[in-house]
Amino acid sequence: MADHYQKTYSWIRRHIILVIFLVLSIPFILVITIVYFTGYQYIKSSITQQAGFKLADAAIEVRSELDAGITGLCKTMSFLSESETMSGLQEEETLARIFARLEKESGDVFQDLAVVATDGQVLAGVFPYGRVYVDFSREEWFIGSCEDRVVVSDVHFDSRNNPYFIISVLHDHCQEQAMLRATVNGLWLSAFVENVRLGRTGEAFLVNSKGIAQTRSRMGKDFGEKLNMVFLEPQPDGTIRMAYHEQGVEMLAAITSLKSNSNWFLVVRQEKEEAIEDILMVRMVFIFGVILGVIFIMVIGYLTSSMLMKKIRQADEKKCEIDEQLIQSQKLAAIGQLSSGVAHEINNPLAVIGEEAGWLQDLMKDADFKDFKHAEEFRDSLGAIVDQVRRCKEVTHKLLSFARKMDSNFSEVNLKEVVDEVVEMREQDAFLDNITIEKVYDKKLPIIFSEPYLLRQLLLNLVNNAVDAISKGGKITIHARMGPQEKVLISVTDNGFGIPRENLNKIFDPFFTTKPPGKGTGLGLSTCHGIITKLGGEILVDSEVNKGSTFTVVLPAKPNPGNKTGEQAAGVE
Amino acid sequence: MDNPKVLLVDDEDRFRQTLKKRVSSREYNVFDASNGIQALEMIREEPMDVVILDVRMPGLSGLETLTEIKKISPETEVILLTGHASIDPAIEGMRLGAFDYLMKPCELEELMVKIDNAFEVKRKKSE
Repeated sequence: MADHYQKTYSWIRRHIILVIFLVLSIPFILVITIVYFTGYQYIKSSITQQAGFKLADAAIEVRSELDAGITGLCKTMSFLSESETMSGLQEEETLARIFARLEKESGDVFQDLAVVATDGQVLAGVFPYGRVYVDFSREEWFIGSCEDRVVVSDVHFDSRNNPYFIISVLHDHCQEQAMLRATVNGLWLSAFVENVRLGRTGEAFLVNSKGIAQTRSRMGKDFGEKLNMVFLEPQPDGTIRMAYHEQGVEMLAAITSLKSNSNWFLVVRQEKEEAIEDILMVRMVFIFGVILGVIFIMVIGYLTSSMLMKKIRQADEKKCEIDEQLIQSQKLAAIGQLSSGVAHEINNPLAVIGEEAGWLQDLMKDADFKDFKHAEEFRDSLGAIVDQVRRCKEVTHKLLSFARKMDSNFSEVNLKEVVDEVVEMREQDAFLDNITIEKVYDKKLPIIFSEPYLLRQLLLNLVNNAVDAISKGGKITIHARMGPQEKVLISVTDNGFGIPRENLNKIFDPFFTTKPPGKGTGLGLSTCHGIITKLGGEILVDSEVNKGSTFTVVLPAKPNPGNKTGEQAAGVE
Repeated sequence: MDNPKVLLVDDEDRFRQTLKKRVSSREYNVFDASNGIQALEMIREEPMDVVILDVRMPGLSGLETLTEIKKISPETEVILLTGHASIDPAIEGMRLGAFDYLMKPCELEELMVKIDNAFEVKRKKSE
């Protein structure tokens, strides 16, 4: 019915959905933002901290191993140097023996051994790797050795590019000072850190204070590689925890300096993404929550808009229905006014014609006309005029009564009695046409407050129509029952030829008839409509061609307070 | 003076004249007036038994004329002729003291019956 509103409906629907989405989305986005920037970030930072602790723990563990290893070497050397005299150390033989012991004790760690005078001159040495030294006076470790008893140098490379570092121990015997210098294999040092495994990307390596790698690492660092590292203030446990970017990848690192060589720093690091893997779970829950929220908003939006649209559609349909009824009654009122005007104007000339014809008829009765040749023809003709005037009069009177504000006298009406009366009036004719009229009454049929005369005329019209709709041998059922909301329903059902769909909206129009000319005025149902409007009810039609029609009259059982007819009735008395 | 005196008041000349001829032919003493004022003058000159009064007339309307007639000659009975769409004027007329009413166009026989009835009532009142 309201199909032409389709465009408006989609427009309204879009707006409702938009508004609902906005109304729901704004708080949702707000909550999500707050959760993200507080909860999520808090969890992330605490997980990051945890990861930092883990790295620091690993760093401390590796550091203690390294320290133990290096300190062990230093102690061995100190012990050896202390146990020999200066002159003894200068003998190649003794030195070779000591070196053999060192090799025996610590495996392939030591590569050569030398005794160096305080001026840097090599006094004696065992050099199985073919390195030959003459003067160390300019070397870093040497300068350091003059100050400390034990010195561990940075990693260097020999001519064959093998990494090594130097441990030197000050030999101090009765004013005779010399240094015992040993070269240690860099790979030994590297072995401590290369095997450190931390997940997929975790690694450990040593770096000196200048940022030069002192070992290899699992992930491909090599000896001597220059690294861009910034060292921060250490934590109370001696570690530095930091995050930094390397080649665009965020790294999480724990750095700690070695106790055995304060110039060396142990770096244990891992890609941040892996280190804080646990956040993935949190992130998934978070994303899942967001998706769930979006789906929820969409479902709510869809359901709410559908519900609203349904309500709007219902309201519109109701409005259309009321509009149609209004148009129908306005149309009827206008037609009624017009027809009553026409009827009234025709009435006067009709009265004149009637009187003239009557006067002529009066005259024809005189004896003078007995000899008149065409007397019979005259009488016949005048009779026809009078008959036709009567027929016209019937039409105009019906028209007038259709439009007339009928003086109504509302009173208590027993519906059963009215129906019985009406049926009685038509039963005889119906019987002749072999039509049965069946009456069905509800047990609890109330006494209603209505206009008995109008009601009778209304029902009579409906029954007449029903009889006319059945040619011969049919059935009419009149069913009076209580409806909802204090309404009384009276339906007149016939099994006649029905009303074609295209005529259904015209049947209440005055002068609309399908009966042959002269048989029906086309005022019956429009009068019914006028009456039912007056009685404050409504009339419904349900019809199917060749199956029959049902006219249902819906009447209020109780008086309508807005009805003015009560005052009019009072005024007459 | 046995014949009832009937006054016909209608603005439609032809209707009035023909009706006058027809009623006169039935042994009634019929007078006619084309409007209310004329009718009132005639009633003042000579009291009527029955007045047949059209409700819708130019000038003085039927109901106004009815009120005046009842003032001048209360015993005169009035039959209203109405062509009106509404029955209200007829009821109003009855309230003002009219004897009866008829819808135009009417059957002469019906009118005659009403005139006779009215005359009967009037005669009984006079006695």
